[in-house]
Amino acid sequence: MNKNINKHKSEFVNLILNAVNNDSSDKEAAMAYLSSEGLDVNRIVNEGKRRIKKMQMEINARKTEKEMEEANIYKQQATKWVDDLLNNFDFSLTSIVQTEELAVSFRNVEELNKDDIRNILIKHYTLKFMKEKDGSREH
Amino acid sequence: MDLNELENNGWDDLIVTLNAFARSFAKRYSWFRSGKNTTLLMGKEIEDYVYEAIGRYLEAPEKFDPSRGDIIAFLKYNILRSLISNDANKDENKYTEDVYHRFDDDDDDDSNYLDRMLPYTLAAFPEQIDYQAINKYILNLINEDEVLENIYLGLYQSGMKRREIIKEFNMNEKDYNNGVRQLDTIIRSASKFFNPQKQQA
Repeated sequence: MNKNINKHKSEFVNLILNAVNNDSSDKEAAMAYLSSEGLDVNRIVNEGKRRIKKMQMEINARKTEKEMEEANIYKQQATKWVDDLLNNFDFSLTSIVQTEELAVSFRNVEELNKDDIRNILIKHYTLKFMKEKDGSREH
Repeated sequence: MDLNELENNGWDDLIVTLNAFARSFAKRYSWFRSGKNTTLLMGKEIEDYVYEAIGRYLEAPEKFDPSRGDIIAFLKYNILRSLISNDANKDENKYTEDVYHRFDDDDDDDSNYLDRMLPYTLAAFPEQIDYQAINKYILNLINEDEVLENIYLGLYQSGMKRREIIKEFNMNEKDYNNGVRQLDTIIRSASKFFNPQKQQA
């Protein structure tokens, strides 16, 4: 008995769903349906494009803000890392340049002051930490 | 169709199709509810659900799986899911199943997007209605109109699509459209007779 009730309900709901899908089966069917409901299709399209554009702008703004926040977190992490490195008794810039494959020529290295070295290393480790994070997301 | 194709002039089709889908569903669904359709729309306009679904896609396009259907089917499914979940979650709705809990984790469901719509819609239609009696009532009102009968049986018993019905029963687009409109009037009339909420109202 229950099985029969379910069968009849299922067939009826399928009818409703088919009718709804038929009203929106393609652009022509959808335009015909909306017009038959007394709606202005051009207004719907223009209003829809405006709303989508606004959403895209908001999403992009949120993504940029998130990226900047993330970059800031990695910069703080890199700053601490570099300060610890510079305070280490064994610190050797030449060794860091080689192991981290930093794009700094040895002639330039000799001309760098302490702040320059710190800034270069912070920039390098910020990017490195961000890449590592992206790599772990992909896996 | 993906995001790049949509950017290249695909939005028009999507906007028109989804607005027609949401409006057509809300209209038919409301026939089986008493009074205003507040539990379905939660104080919003029907098109708000269209743009919420599009917004969710723009925010996380990776959630769309093209192997389960096209982008329009994916968005139709999401609109339906939002509308029906709203309705099911409202305390004043005593007539439908709690679809929200039943389908809470259906992101893992690997069936296609159009097939996923039926369980939601099924759960949202009242159990108290005698659907077999509705079927008899509709067949009685169709009263041997061949076009109407073909459309009804095609949609009801065979789950045929618009184009399949037109081709199978050798009818033209105008006959089909008129037939569907007449059938809507009959189904709406049937809903008044058999809907327990409207009988109580």
